[in-house]
Amino acid sequence: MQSPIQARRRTTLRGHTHPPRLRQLGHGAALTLCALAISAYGATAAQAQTLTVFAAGTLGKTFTTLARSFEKEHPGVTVQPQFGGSVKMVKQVTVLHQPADVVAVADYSVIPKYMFKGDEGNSATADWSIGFLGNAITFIYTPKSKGAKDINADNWWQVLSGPGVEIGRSNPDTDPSGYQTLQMLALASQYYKQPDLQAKVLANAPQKNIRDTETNLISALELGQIDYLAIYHSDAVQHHMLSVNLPAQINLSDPKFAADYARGVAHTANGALPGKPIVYAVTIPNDAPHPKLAQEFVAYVLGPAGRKVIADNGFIPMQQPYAMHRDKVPADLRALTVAWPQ
Amino acid sequence: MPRAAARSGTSMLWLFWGLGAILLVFIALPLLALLLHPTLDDLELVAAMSEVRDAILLSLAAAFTSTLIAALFAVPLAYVLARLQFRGKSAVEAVVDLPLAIPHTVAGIALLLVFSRDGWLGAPLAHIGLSFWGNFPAIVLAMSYVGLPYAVSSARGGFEAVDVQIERAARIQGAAPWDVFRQITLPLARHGILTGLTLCFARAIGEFAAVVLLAYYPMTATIRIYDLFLQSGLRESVAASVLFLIVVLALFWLLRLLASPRRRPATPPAEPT
Amino acid sequence: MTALTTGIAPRGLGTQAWLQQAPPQHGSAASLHLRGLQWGVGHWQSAPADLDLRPGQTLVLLGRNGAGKSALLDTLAGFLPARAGQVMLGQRDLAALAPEQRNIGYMFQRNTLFPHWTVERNLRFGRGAQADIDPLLDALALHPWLGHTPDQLSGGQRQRVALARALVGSPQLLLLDEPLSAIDPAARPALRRTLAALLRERRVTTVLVTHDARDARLLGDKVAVLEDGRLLQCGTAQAVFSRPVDLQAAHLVGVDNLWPLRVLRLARSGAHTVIDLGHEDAQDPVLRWQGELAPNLSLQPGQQVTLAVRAEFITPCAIAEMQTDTPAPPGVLQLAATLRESRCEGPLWRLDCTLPWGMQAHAFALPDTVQRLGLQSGDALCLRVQLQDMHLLAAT
Repeated sequence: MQSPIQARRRTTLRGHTHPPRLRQLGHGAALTLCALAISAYGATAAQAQTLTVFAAGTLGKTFTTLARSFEKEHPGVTVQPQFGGSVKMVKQVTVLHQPADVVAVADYSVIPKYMFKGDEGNSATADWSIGFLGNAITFIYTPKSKGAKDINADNWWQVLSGPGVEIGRSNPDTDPSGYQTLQMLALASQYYKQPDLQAKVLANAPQKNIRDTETNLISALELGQIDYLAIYHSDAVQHHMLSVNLPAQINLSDPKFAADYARGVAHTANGALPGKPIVYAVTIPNDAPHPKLAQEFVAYVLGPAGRKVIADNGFIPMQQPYAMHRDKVPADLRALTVAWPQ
Repeated sequence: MPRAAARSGTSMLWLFWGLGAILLVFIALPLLALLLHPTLDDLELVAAMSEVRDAILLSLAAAFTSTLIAALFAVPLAYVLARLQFRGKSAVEAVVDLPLAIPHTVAGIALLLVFSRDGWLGAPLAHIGLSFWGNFPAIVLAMSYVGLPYAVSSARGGFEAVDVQIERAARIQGAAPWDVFRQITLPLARHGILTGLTLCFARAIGEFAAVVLLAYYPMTATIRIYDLFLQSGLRESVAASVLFLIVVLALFWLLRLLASPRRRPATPPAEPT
Repeated sequence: MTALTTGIAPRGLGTQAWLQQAPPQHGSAASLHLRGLQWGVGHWQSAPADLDLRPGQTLVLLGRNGAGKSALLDTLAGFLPARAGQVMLGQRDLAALAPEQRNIGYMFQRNTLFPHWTVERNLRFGRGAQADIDPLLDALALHPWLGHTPDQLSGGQRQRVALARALVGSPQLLLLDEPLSAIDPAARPALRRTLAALLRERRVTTVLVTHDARDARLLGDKVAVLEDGRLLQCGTAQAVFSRPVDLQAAHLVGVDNLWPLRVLRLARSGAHTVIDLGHEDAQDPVLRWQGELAPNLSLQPGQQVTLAVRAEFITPCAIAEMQTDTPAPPGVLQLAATLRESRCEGPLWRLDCTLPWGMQAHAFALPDTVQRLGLQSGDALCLRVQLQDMHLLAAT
């Protein structure tokens, strides 16, 4: 007659009697392996229908809304947008080789500059781009900003040059809204025939008020550290902020003033940049993991649903998107575009 | 007998070494990849760039200042927490640990709420000319906020390792509490305190998100590296990172050497009593 | 009383005015008076205690662990606040003084030498800064170790340094907390003798706390027994050891023979009492006790009582010497017993015997007595004890 202890020991395979601690270790190892296998499966399964979108920071709300409604119309698909400075997002693709299905930037020239040609010795990562919405540069402010009660479309540059006024802006060397602000101020100097307008306003926007992207300064504005923030009109609408109505001739919003805009030059570490209308562009990188799905998404953005969301967020949707290297654009998308005007 | 050997301590130690080695490799490999990426020419190039040198010096100076602040404020608090029992002590401990749990950007916003031009403390301080925006004090503020918890917990461990009876022995010998602290407690707690200050320095010098909200210019090393990545690309930003890492690693090694307890060979006594 | 003068703080002391007495000398010891002193830790509190020590006297506080002995020392030193009552050291009321102002030396139970300093610097800290340490170094043979740090010393050497540090600068009161418990038992007798000599020579008022009765015997002018925060008894070592006030005290002072007996008959004539004591329900007395009863003990026939006899006071002799028909020598009681076991304990032999009525008796004998008697286990022998060494206690 076996004792209960002997009976328990006998039940292991091949008659080995493992000490209890070793058995616990074995159980633990098995559980860990199961957990790893499940999460690995989960990860790959998630990848199967996940669209990765890199977009400029100012497209945050817009593209998040579009992502969710796209997911509703395409069950089983997850859209994961990531937002940041346009140059930073592009470099994540061109230099860090992060996989992306859709790339959208706040300045259309960023795509040809970094992606059509190779960046830092890497090969080209995209062959075409589509300009799909416009924006305007403006200044946003809060009721407690200095001069908030008096400021209007005519005297804004006087208010902004006033003593003790703090103006925030983004880094012109790395961020489109940064150099676009400089271009706008150069144009304003010519428009209002005030040669020192740009210098006077910039005197209130010194280095300590500069950040890498303008969206980092919104909290500073809300907390009263700065009075005015050079930013896009879309942000004014999305954050429900007061903004100055700058004339279309200087705020880079209308492509028909493109020739005038070119007279406003921003001097940055990357050279002298002449003004251009603000056109946001989108592309699908050459080695996108899900090219077909990416095309559907871009078509959705360019379509009526997309244009409505774009307009609701304060951007200027383009009825006829401009395509750069139109012949390289995938057929389905090409039908929605016209060639980029020279 | 194999089973007997398995039960002795050595196989356990081998297992621990194995697991630990995996950790060391995990830490070392990316660092090694980073260190080997730039050529010596790249390193010379970024070392010649004044904005890179200035950024590294600024980071060192600001982190050092934060560490001094930690020494002044965190060490006394650590002593109080080590020695005293009082109601609400666990609440105090939780508050000290909070900066560890907050996302760095949120920490920056929280600091802005208090120290910006219109903030709770920023507004009155602005009257005496103190500003925490886009300047050295702003950087030190953000760095201190994230580094202080490490200083407190490590220094506290150092103080707890000092037997209270030794402090009592010093008191009864005729020394006032201040002298006991200065001559007895501090030297004996040195290891924990210096470790805490080193951790605080390390955490402070590597901070990005909290600093960038309060001060983009003047650029610390972390921000300048990020800026280089955007402007000039991978080569220069990695080279600048490596330069920064070499400086910081050398500093940490030095601090660790200073913090290690003095070891004199313990000579066995000659007489039995 | 020497005048108090403020002087410049010696090296190592704070900037607060250091109240300094005239140059210290042997014999600057002070008297210690406790008046209704109550001390405690957390929820535990002692009973009020009154105690008087003359300058230079040593009080040994004997008690079990947890009796509150260390807490009393901490209260005298100022590490714990007194819950009630008063402590006077000389003319000074200590309640108002911080530990560093009390001029008290403390030797802790655990090693509390400053580990990062040499022996010399340990002694030179605080009170010892300007003191003459050579006599102490001589008395404790510490000269060769001045340059060593505590981790380089053995346990015994560390305790000697701790003792020197407590004595340096001639404090008015010396507190010793179980000074020998951290020492290897084989090394204790030597250090005990050194300590006794040092205390006698320096004549420092001393309070020494221990649970070892041997320390009390050798070191104490006065012995106090502390149990559960209550001072049970305080007197000379002789009195406390041979006449413990109750059963608890008897255990603490190490009385080996505690016989529970019953009073059968009681006869008083003046101060002298004769009691016949019996064992359990037996009608016949097993022995007769005579002497003066302690005033706190009132006995009735039929009452339980404990007879306490120290093992050292029982002498063995040959059974043949005990004749039942010839009377015993005056003042001496003879008991027949059977030897169970004999053991050599140091310089004496310990004899464990069984009495006729079943109880155990312990006796000590010199080695040549044991050899002369030639006793084996199971042999009968006679145990002699002086009547004055037999002490009656209440039963519980």
